[in-house]
Amino acid sequence: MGTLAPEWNGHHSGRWFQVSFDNGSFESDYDMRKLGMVLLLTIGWGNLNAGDDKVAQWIETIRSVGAQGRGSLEARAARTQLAGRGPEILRDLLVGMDTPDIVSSNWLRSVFDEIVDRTWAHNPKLIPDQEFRDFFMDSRREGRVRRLVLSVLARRDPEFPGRIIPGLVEDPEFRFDAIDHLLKQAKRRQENNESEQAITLFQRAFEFSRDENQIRTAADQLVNLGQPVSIVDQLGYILDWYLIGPFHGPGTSSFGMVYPPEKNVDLQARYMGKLGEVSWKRYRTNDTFGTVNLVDTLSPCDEAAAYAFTVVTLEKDHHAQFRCGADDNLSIWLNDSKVFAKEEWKNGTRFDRFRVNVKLKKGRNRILVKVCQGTKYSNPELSNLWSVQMRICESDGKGVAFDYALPEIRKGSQLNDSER
Amino acid sequence: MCVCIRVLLRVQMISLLMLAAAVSTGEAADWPGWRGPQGNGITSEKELPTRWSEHKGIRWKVALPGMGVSTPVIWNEYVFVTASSGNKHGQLHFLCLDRKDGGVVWHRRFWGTSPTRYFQGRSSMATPTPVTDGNLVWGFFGTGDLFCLDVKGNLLWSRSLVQEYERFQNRFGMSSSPLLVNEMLILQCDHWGQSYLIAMDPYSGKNLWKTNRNENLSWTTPFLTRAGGEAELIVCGNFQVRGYDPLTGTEQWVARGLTQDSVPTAVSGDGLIFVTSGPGGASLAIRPGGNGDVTESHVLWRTPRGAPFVPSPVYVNGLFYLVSDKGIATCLDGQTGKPVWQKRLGRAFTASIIGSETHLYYVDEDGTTSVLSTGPDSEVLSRNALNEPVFSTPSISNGDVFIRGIEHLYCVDGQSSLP
Repeated sequence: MGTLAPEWNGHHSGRWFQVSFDNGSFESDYDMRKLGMVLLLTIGWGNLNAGDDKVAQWIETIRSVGAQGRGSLEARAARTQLAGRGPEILRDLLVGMDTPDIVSSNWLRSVFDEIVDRTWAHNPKLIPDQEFRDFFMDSRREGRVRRLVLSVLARRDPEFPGRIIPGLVEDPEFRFDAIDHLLKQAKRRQENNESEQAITLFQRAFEFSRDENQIRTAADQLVNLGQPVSIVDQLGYILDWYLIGPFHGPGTSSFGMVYPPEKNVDLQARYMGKLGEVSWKRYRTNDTFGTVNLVDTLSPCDEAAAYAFTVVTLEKDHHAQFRCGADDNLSIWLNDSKVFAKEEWKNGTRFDRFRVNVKLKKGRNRILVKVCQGTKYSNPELSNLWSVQMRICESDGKGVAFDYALPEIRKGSQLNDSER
Repeated sequence: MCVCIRVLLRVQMISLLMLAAAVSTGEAADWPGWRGPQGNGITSEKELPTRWSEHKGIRWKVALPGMGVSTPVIWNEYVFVTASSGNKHGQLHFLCLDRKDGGVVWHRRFWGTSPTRYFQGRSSMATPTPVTDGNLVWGFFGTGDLFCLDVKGNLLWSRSLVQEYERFQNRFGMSSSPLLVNEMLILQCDHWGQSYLIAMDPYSGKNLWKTNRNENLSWTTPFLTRAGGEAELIVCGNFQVRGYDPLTGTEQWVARGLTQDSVPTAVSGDGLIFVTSGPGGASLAIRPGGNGDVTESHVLWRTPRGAPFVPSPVYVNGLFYLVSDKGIATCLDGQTGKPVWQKRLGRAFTASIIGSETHLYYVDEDGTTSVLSTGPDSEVLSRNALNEPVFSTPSISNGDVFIRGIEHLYCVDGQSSLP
């Protein structure tokens, strides 16, 4: 945990203390002019509390709490001091909370909430509006702190979230909220028989959504309105595979076991599997989200492993993400290097459950996926599902365009150099 | 191990030896944590309500700020309750209500470090029940965050176990409640990663001991018993239950015979430990004080009859009471495991049984509480509907029953609803 000083005087500080005098919509609910002038006259721009070293020290003390409750005694004392201050330190508290360390953030939040509640009860106008708005709009800030700020802004101006959030379709924290708003807006248009406007809104929701339910809703509605779209293309799902299995893996041993396809992908080979001889089978899923159901395509079974193999081509080198999920778990090799493995049982194939940063090369990229199947459920009413789902996307979740280059199986030959 | 911890352990050991009832932390009128003052779901109070409805016999009903399956805990005039809300239920709420009228005394909001999956519509990140000693209150959440506050709501210390160790991998959300016993706060963290049992100094949060468990996912809470004279920490798990030395965390014995996905908390009585697990599982009566694998030597009986998946059992005057998730209440003889009676009580149950020596409360998922008399000739005395789904185990304090629905907390007025 670093000191607060660099953040205070760094890139945030300029905007942090700007006070908007010209936005009429803000003017009515908060007399920023008075406060702004007072601040300017008193301490000048960008340096609001820099003179109050004690506040910085107390915040730093709280940010120093560590494992096993270490530093709590000191943090308590610092918390008491901070809580005795007024709304003038709210901005400092926000900056202090803007850290991935949630333990120290919660300490500071307890002060922040206390001061906000007290200020709200006595004089809500003292809660700094424009500075809060600036903080909220800064997508580099921790999402949870921005939401906290939004809750305070909404307390003052209940219409504020409705005005601002629909435009945040590319904001990593508020994308879901923005798409939710778009979908509701589109539905209202649809109910009013304003099809063109509804299509435009649904298309925007479809374009920017990264949530399974939201993109499905947008796609379904667009199909209903005669505008078919492809979730697979939009999100970059892999549909074409070769599959092989099941291989025997007693208990949950399959995750650690090395079966022949891990040593060498030989599409011609045949192996002894759990239920008899197994060989590679070409399979193309038609699931909307690219899910490959291994129970249907290979066999229902417990305590086993299977492999899926594909080759995709790209026009240029690409830093991308694999977003994937499997029931029970999966390991991934990209161009013969293991890039991901997570031993987690009975947790299901879920949309974007795992994210793996990868570098795909221009031309052919070989992707091998191992999917394990665990033990039977003790509840006989629960069937033992077995499936995998995987897509290639940008870091913001938008699908990457690729082609398949899966070789055909030829008797008596392995992949040749051009296929590799 | 540092000197101060050794000293502390020695003090704790003396405390444990000196106290006859090591389990109890509260007075009879208080309900200080999961499963009440003795940790077994049973109060020593006598005058308890038997009849109420959504509109009658309710002292107060208040809306809660989020979801939660945690039990409200009560100490004197305070009712402590937790909830979670927001995106992935990562917004944590810790509240203190006034037991007179349900008014909010304080409401603290915290961020959760790492929300996991949870049972949509039923649970959240606020499944573990808080615990209090009347001066401090400790709240644990499925996000891996643990908070210690004083009764005025001041934060004294907090820890993020998932930040310190490993994020929880749990498909229904961490459910194990903290256990407060003689200067130790004990937590069971079973999940798909490295499971462990941990004891902390309740006043500083510092580890006293931490024992890794060769277990995966479970949702059960440890239970401290002196059924065999010595204090033993009973911890259920997948397919087996283990006994630990509460002072050191050392595993002492293991008894096999449970099934996978263990949820209910153990109870004890008449020199025996009773555990249960389901579905399709079994209940076991185990003699305490074993060493090593005691499956053959210490398991007095084992029966699949009536074993529940989620609701914890109670043991009263020689009888072991269970209710299955599908609504069948079962009473077994504690010494033999033989069935005494079975009754259908409701459609489905998640809440655990609580009660007294004379009355038992079974709250079903529709929010209807069946009040039964205890004993071999038990009768259903009343059925009391709140018409709000209930998945949380109720609590009892000073003759009142506190029932948490999915949206509201009800205080059933013990005075106005007495027969």
